[in-house]
Parts: sequence; structure tokens; C-alpha cells
Amino acid sequence: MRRYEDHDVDVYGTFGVRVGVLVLGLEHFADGPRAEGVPVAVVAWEPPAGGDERLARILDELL
Amino acid sequence: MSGTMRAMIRADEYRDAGVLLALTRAVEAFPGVRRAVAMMATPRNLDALRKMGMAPPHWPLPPKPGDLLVLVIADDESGAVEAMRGADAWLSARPPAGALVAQGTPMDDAPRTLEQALVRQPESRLAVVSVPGLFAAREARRALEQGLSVLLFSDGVTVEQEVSLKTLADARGLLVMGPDCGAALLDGVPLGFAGAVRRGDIGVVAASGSGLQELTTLIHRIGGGVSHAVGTGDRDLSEVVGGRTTLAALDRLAGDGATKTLVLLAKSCARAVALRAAERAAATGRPVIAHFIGCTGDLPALSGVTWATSITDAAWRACAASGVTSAAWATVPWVRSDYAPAQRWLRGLYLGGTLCAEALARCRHLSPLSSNLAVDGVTSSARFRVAGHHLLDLGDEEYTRGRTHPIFDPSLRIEALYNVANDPAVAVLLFDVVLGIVGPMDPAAGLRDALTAVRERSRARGGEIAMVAAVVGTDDDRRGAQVAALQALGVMVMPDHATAVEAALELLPEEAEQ
Repeated sequence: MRRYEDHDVDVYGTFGVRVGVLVLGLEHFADGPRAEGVPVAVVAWEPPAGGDERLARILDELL
Repeated sequence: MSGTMRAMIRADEYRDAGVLLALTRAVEAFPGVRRAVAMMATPRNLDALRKMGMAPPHWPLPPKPGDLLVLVIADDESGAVEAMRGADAWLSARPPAGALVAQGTPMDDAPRTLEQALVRQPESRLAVVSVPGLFAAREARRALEQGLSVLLFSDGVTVEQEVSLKTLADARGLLVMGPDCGAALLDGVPLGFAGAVRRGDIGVVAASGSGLQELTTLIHRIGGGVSHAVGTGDRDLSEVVGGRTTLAALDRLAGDGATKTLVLLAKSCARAVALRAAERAAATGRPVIAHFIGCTGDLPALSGVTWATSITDAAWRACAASGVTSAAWATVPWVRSDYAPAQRWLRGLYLGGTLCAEALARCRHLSPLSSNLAVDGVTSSARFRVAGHHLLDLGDEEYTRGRTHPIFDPSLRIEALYNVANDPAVAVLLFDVVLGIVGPMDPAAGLRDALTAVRERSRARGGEIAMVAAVVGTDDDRRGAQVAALQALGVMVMPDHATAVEAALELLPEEAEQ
């Protein structure tokens, strides 16, 4: 995969993306940032409350 | 559907849509398997299973929403059993989400929540959220509360949730890109489905996913480059959302020394909000190119703003404004087919919603015309087979609910293509192929059998269907190979989408253009 050329931008960049990205959901979405050398942490995400939407909402209100 | 069915439930095991699709394909490859499905047991998915005629008469245990289901229909019992064993082995060989990519850490140590991931990587400034829509707003809010901007790929987020998230982001100086934001390029980093695009001095703010991809890859192919491309979600320029992300992105780009030219693009918008965005862009002092596909009526002259007539026009004008004028590409000849008398209609089958909207805007004079995109004066229809000209956005929420986006999973479009193959009234087929760093490596191969059926069945009826396509991507996204593969199947591949639409219109039988 092609890497981008270096540019004269500060390490944080305008949007701060180069310092690190978190990925929740499709693991494929880690590939683009990682190919650019960006640190990526992928969350082993699971639906809250075993996927029960109503229970998840109640838990959110309690926490 | 006859045959032998077997079902497996793996309790409390979550796998994302990409993994489930790969599992489905692996199980389908077993000898004697007629159909396989792997999905989470959400109420919506169970309902879809019933509609597909694949719900077993009895479950071994009542499935819960957090359970993983695998269903197989095979020619006989032994084939079904073998396929199930294969599914079990396939899953056991692959650790759950997160463990694969938490390099150097034991599997059980992978972060389970956003907060845990932040402890591991505290400098992070962006979260990419693509969890199922029911939970997406919840995760996006948690990210904002932790000081992260969000690229929200998920759809199924209500407009009220969107306003709430964007209000919170504004208050904290953060960005919410989305919901339903397919792609962005920030600080030279491709996100979502973004393509391999050269860095340069053109800044893009796009209330559209496939539009952002078409625009940025065209800029690259013309010879220009992109400083940043911010996706906003296609409701951002609506009255109720008020352009919150667009305006915040423009403020960021105003302070970005690498950005010399600005392009605004939207699939749909409220006129007043769109004009406010254009004025804000012009206030940065950079040349502004704007294209608002959904805005009807003439837009007023604004100092410093050029209104483009298509995404292609916007790309050329942006490149010219940034001093790139040298590139030219070969035009592609199109040849009118020998139609059978029954062939009359245009059929568009899109993965990119903005591309579908662009086609619809150009085809408004056709009659009768229908689409699943809500546009005044166009009949609403999401069916695969209708009488008349018909443009379908297969990435729309009604098709993606509970299943993988058709960019990843071609089965929905293949089904639609077989409907075209069996419809003697279709004269011209128009479609897009959307490439990107993350997307499928060889989408043309996935369409080969269906496109061959479209052409052969049309010939068997004494006619010849015209097939026209646009391939969105750069050569670094394998565009050249995809174009060649489609041409070998008899598809006329145009250099850009706007030209593909013009070709499709030119190719229609004259009596169909009313």
C-alpha cells in the first residue's frame, strides 16, 4: 500500500489524527490509519447488556 | 427452499459484520451447501431470517440478541453437518474482535471499552465508530465526553441524536463526522472507505460519502491533491442540523496553512443552510468551489464562490484554482446497442448514494422515473423490478439494516442484477464500482457471473443491453485492473460518473427519452 509523502505539518496535524485513532466496530477500519503509521487501538466491542437495547438504555441511565 | 437445514447458536459471542460476511462465504464454499447465513440474533435479524424463509421451525435454544447464529441449507444431512463443523472450526481459529489487532498483548487483555482503549492509547484524538446503529449514538457520546472527535460510519442514528451529538461536539471544540459518514481524509490519513489520494492543497467538506470519494479521486487523477477531506454525514446541511459539522470543519480549515482552495459538496441540503456554509467558506479568503446536488433552483452569485455543475466539474475547477491544468484523459467511445423492440428503460444500481442522487438530478426529464431516494416529483420505489426508468441506491438504510454495506457484500446488487437479466424492458444498465483502501480487492470478479447473465439473456431475447459504469478510485486503489476486468465483460467504463450518466442518457432508445 502506498504511503503518503511527508509534509511540513506539525506532528499533531490540523485534526490530530496522526497521534492515535480508536476503532469501534468493523476491524477493517484500522487498516487505513495503520498503513499510515498511525497508532490504532481496536476495541473488542460487544453490544451492551447482551444486545438488549432496552436494558442497555436503563443501564446508561443508571451509570 | 428444500434440502436439509441445520442451525448453530454460539451464546454471547459477538462478531462484527465483516467477520460474519467472511464466515458466510467460508460456509457457502462447502460442497453441497445451497445457502448459508451467519448473523447476530437481534430481533431485526431474526425477522429478516423469517422473511428469507431461513428460520428453522425449532431453535435448539431461544436465541438472545448477543448470540451468534449460523444457518445452513445443504443438499443432504452429511453436507449440512460438515458445513457446521467447518463453521465451528473457522470461528474457533479466529479470536474475537480486538484480539487480532491488539498486537503484543494477550487476547484477554484487549480493551473492551473505549475508556480502556484510551488508557492504553491516551493521546488518541479520534474514534471511528461503526457499531450497529442502535448503539452507535451511545458510543459516539462516550467518545465526545472523553475529548475525542468522532467519525460515525454507522447509520440508524436519529436526527435528534445527531443534533445532540453535534451540539456536544461544538461545545467541546470537537467534530462529529456523520452519521453514515463513509469516508474522510484527515492529516493525510484515509478513514472509512477513503481512497489512496495524493496530498495537496485542496480542502474538501462533503455532506456525502461516495461524493467525497468521487471528488477526491478525480482530483488525484487530474493531478491535484487533497489537504483534508471532511465527511459530515448527508443530513448536516438540513435545516434541523444546521450545518454544524460543515461550519466547524470550515473553521478548522481556515486555520490550516496547507489548504489553499476549498470545495463544498452535498447530496442534499436546505438552501439557506447551504448558502450560509458557502459564505463561511468564502470568508476564509480562499477560492471556493461548491456543488449542492439537492438544492433546486438557481443559487445566487456569491463573491469568491463558483457553483459547479457536477462532481467532475467541481474536481476540474478545484484543480484549476490550485494551479493544476495539465492533465487530460482519453474519452471513451460509447456504442448504441441493437435493442429489441421491448427494450426501453434505464436501470441504475448504485452503491454510492451521492452518485445515485447525481444521476437522479440529471435524469429528471425522463418519464416515468422512480427511485428509492426521496426527491420531489420522483415516484418512490425500492423494488428491484418496476416499469419505467429506475435508479436505486442500494446503500440506503432500508437495505443496510441488519446487514453488511453492499460495498463489502455484493449479494444484494447481484440479486438486483439478476432481476435486470430477467427483465426484457431494460435497455441501459448504469452502475458504480466504489474502490478504496479498505474495500474489496476485486469487486468486478464478484459481479462477473451476474453481468454475464445480464448480457447473455438480453442477447437470447434478440436484443443487446448497454452496460455503463463509473469506477471510483485511483490506480493505487486498483482502478486500472477493475476497469479492464469490466471492459472484458462488455461494460463501457466512463472516466467519471457524470460522463457515465451522459453516456447512459445518450444510449437510451429515442422513444424512451420522453
